[in-house]
This record gives sequence, C-alpha cells and structure tokens, in this order.
Amino acid sequence: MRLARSREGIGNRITTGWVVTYALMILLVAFTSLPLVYLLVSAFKPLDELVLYPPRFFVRRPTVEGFLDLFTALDSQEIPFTRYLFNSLFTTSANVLLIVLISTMGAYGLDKIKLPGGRALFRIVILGLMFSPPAAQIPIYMAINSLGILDTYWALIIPKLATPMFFFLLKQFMSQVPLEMVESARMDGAGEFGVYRRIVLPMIKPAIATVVVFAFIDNWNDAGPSTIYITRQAMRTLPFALGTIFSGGVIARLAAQNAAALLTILPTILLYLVMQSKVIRTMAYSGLKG
Amino acid sequence: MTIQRRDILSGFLFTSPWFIGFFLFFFYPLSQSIRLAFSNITDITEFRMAWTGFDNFANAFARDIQFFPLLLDSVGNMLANTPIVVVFSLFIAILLNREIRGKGLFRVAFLLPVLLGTGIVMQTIRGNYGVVDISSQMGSASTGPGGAELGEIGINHYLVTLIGPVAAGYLQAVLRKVSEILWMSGIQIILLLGSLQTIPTPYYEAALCDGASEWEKFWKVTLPLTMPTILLVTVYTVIDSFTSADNGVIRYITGVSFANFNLAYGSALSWMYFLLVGIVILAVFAIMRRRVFYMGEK
Repeated sequence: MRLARSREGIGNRITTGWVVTYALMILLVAFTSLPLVYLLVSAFKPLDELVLYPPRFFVRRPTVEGFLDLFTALDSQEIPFTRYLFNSLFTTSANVLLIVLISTMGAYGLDKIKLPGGRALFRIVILGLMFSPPAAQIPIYMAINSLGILDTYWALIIPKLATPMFFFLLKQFMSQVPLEMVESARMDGAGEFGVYRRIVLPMIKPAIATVVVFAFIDNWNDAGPSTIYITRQAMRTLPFALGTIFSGGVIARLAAQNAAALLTILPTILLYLVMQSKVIRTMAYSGLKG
Repeated sequence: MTIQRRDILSGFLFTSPWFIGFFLFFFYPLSQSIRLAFSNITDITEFRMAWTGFDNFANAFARDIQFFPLLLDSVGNMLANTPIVVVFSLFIAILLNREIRGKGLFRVAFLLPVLLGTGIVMQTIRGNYGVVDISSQMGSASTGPGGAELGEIGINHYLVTLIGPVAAGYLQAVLRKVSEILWMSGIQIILLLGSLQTIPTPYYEAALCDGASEWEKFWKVTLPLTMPTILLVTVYTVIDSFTSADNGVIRYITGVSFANFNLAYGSALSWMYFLLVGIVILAVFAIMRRRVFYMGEK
C-alpha cells in the first residue's frame, strides 16, 4: 500500500494529500498575488473608477489613459518620466553587473587561491552581514564626497557594490566547486583568470542568477542613494520620483500614478521570469558552516 | 617568481576590487561611527569632533527614557517572529517542493509577489503613497498622505457585509499577521527550497523501503539534512528583524541621528544596539549548533 504511493504516484492520483496540497497552494498564491493583480488592474482603471467609494477590485471599463497621461502630460514637464526610467535602468544594470564581477572575483580569490589572511578577511565579511548603523550614513556621504563623485551616476553605482550578503552567497556556493578541478586546469596551463572565467564561473551560474535577481531588486527599489547623494533632479531614479512627484495625492494624476507603479515593477517581474528556473536551483549549498 | 608569491599576487588582484569597496564604503564609515560614539560634534560642516569618552553611552542609560523600552520591544518582536517565520518558511518550502503537476507555475506565482513585496517600491505603494493601499490585506500600518481611502481595495466592505463586523475584525487580524509573516519570509523560502532539492532521492527511497511514513520521513530525513540551511535562515531572520527599516530601534536611531541631528548620540546607540544583536546571534549559534549536522560528516 505504501509502496504504491510512491513519489510518482502522488502527482497522478487524487488522494487526500493531493487535494490538501493543491488547496493550500491555491490559497497561498491567491493571497500573495492579490496586491500584484490589484496593481495590474488599477493601472488600467479610468479616473472615476479609481476614486470610487467604496472601491471596486476589478476594472469595469479598462483604459490606457493613465499611461498616456504619464507619457504625454508628465513628459512635457521639466523632467520627463522616461528620464527617471533611463536613470534607474542604467544605474541598476551597471550596479548589478559590477556586483557580480567583483564579488565573484573576490570570492574566487578567497576560496580558490591560498591567500595569507584570507580566512580573517572572510570573517570580517561575515561580521559585515549584521551591521548597518544609520549613523554610518554620514561617513559614507563624506567618502563619496571626497571621491568627487557626488551628483554623478557613479554615486548611485559605486557605494553599494561591496555588499557582504552577495559576497557571502557566492563564496559559499563557489566552495562546492572541487579544488581538484581548479588544480587540474592549472596543471594544464590555464592562467588564474582563465580558470576563473572558464571553469568556476560556468559552475556557479545558479548562484549568479540569484545574486542578479536580489541585487536588481535591492537597487531598483532603493530611493536612498538618489535622495542623499544626488541633488540634480534629472539624475534621480524611479523610486525617488515615485515618492516625490506623485506625493500629495493629486487626484487628477491618480491614473498616471498607477500606471507608473506598474511600469516600475515591470522590469523586476521580467527579470525574475527569465531567471527563475535558475534561481530556484540555487543556494543549495549555502548552509552555514559554523 | 615563486609559486607562493604568484599566488599572493593573483589572490590580491582578484580580491582587491571588492575589498577596496568594502573598506571604503563599509569599514571606514563604521570606524568613523565608533569614533563618533565617543565624541561630540563641535562643527558639523567640517565634521570636527571632540572626545567625550563614555558620555553618550552614559546618557543612554541615565537620561534616555525611550531607548531601553524600544530595545526590549525589538528583542520581544524578534523572539516572537523568528520561530514563526522559520517554521512557516519551511512549511511553504516543503509545499512548493512537492512533486505535483504545475509546481513550476505555483513557484513563480507564489514567490514573485513575495520577492517584489520585499522591495521598497511595493512598500512605498503599500504604505506611503497609498495608491494600492490595501492595509487590511498586507498588514502595513499605513496612512498614505491623502490616498488611503482613494485606493483602498475594499476588502473591508466585502467582509463586513459578508460575515458581520466582529468576525470580519478577527479575520482581518489573522490575515494581517499571516501577511506580515509571509512578507518576512521570501528569501528564507528560497533558501530552504534550494536546500530541500539537494537531498538525494535515494535517501527517501531507502526510507520508503523501510516503511517510513511521510511524517517519519520529514523528521528523520528532511529535517536533519536541511539543518544547516535552517541555521542560516534563522540567523538571517534574526538579523533581518533587527536591522529592517521598520524596526523601532532603527527608526529611533535614525530619528536621533538625522531629525535631531545628534549623530554622536545616534552612533553610540547604534553600537550598543549592534552589540546586543551580536550577542543574540552568538546565542542562536550556541543553541542551534549542536543540532546541526552536515552531510558527509560523521
């Protein structure tokens, strides 16, 4: 009896467990995706439906006037919405690319090359996982200031490159790549960079995909740097724009607000859909070793 | 060049970009904030400070009536939420890992909103600017500037007309708690899901041959083999609970540092706070370490 309910059996036959699993899943998915669906639906609502009280969940007469408003009325303003979009796309992409590059390189250096003091360095990184005092904001600002990159795209890209969490994940994953493999590549005459690029990087692709998604979400949504290090409005990013240009609850702009909210979240959704099959497979080996 | 020296050189070349960034934007600011904690700012434009010893710390004990209650609150919240979050994420991860038809679809549909929900855009939308203010659903204590009623999803109304105000109140409280926990568990679920997938299927087959039930398989195979990840997830949850921007202490420190512009005092509070966080994390390790078993270890 038990043998009959093997792993394949669960998927194909209707049992109590099967029903319970599906019911729970559907309930959970409904619960978590509700805000997202609402966001989607709201972006196509005409103004009168948005201000309706009591509000209605689904849209009655879908329209794209919110998007039109966003790209015509708001585009003719001083700083067009598309400019914020570009700023965000550019700085976040550069940020994610560089994070992956320097974190994988650093992880390779610590994990695959015998570096004196390497263990101590990694301990410092682990400590770094848990510190984020708000009071360190001012010294960070001063560091950026003395580099002379205040009010440039660099100020949005550089400060968050060395994130301990991403370094930690990549290093943990990389330690699963057998050292013998690295050694034999070296024996065959591969240079250090060749080993890194041809052997190690392809093997940690799932971890890289995960870091790409997390780093993207992290930076895409962070209004902080653009609030603190940037003073020119034209250099600021989307989350900042969402927070300020739409604040104050101007009812006439409500449709455009909802359209903007949807557009802001769209790149993250697309990225996740592209990466997700890899993301799930990842972090398999990221368990903490004490 | 000897092999060892070449190793050092290439190791240095590989690690330096990351560590330069780390020391510049993490270590240096951190050390500055230590200095600040023992000082008083005498000139904010030049960022000059005068050494005051332990004054800032003494003030926190002697004068500040808000800090310690908040501290206790934050520890209490952590203690209450962490076990729930960890057990809940494990439950969800196991559910998502089951061999059922359409599991890929479920994973995407479930994880995507959770991942997005941890993002600030979603929080901003939920909270501050009130376009999609569905506080009854998401459990965010939000009063958007002028937008709360405009965009509210209207679940309240449906519920009240459906089951009456008292039951609706209870149901909402439950939903609020569930969504609060759910939105704290995104990364944890992914980590655990990844870990569940590395458990070799022969283990389960062997358990099956020995006549183990699902329940026994969970306790004897799944749980021991996911323990390292559970430890990681626990530590992550603790850190997340202590350092999230919603945390009362973090908010208080940010307020002291920037609204009142008392950076020195804010630094002192930060360091006391993070000392506490460090102790808590060490305690978590001490408690959990004995129960953690690594695959391939004896």
